[in-house]
Amino acid sequence: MPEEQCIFCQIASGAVSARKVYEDEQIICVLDINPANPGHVLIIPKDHYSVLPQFPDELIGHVGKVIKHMSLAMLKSLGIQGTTTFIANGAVAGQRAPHIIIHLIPRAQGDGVFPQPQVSQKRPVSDKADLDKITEVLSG
Amino acid sequence: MADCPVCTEKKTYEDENIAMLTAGSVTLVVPKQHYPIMEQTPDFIIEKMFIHANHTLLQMFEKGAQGANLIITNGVSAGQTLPHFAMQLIERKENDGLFPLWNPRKLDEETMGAIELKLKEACQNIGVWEEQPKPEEKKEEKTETNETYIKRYLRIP
Repeated sequence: MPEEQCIFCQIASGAVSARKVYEDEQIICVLDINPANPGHVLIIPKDHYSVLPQFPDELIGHVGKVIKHMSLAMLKSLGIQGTTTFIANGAVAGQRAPHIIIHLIPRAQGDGVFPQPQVSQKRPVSDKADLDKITEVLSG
Repeated sequence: MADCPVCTEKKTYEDENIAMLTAGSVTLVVPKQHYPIMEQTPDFIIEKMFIHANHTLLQMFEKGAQGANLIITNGVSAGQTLPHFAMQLIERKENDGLFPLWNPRKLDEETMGAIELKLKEACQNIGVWEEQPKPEEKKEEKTETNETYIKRYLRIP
């Protein structure tokens, strides 16, 4: 259910205006007003959920299909060669709003939006093997 | 595909359509069949991948994760290095130094308006999903029960 004080619930209901590019019964897609790259879209569930695991299966499956087709729409219309989907669950993962948002970001070579994972200077040595493994996997 | 590291890697989970690999605190959810990018992956497989990924995220939180990211790097320009489409589930901890967020930009109204129109038009066909291919229907073997035998031979209506 929508929450009155939530800005994203207000965007989803139309109470607050936004640049809408797609909408259906379950979700609304709007342009981020502070984009990582031009065409950065926020996919917002109309019901208020705090984190992704709260989604019922039907909704998350639907969101997945929207992400795929929105990414295709971006590739066709914006002259880009790739997209990044980013979902942050929890503040430590980068979540900045109490309403879960899916970021779909158009990407270009060397745009610097998402550097590869870096070893933090503060990270204990014993965990370096973990990060090496991450880098290895993500590097193919 | 024989030369694809994802296709040939041992899986921690698999079913008819999707599979999972784990490397440390990174879990990959992938289609079993080789698809290089998200756009080539059939809708019904995308759906299953997201459902399974979400169940896995829930398990992460139930085991005490402080946070988790779901990331899809789609295309070389996005940083995709695996030749096989994959969703990354990454457990996060305070100050782990992973994935610093982007610097937000400010675009003028004219640019935003132009992008809005382009994307809106391109999104007009969203909502018409591909159907999952139906398995070949098996022919039902007729087995005659006592009741049907009696009805057939004794001609009881």
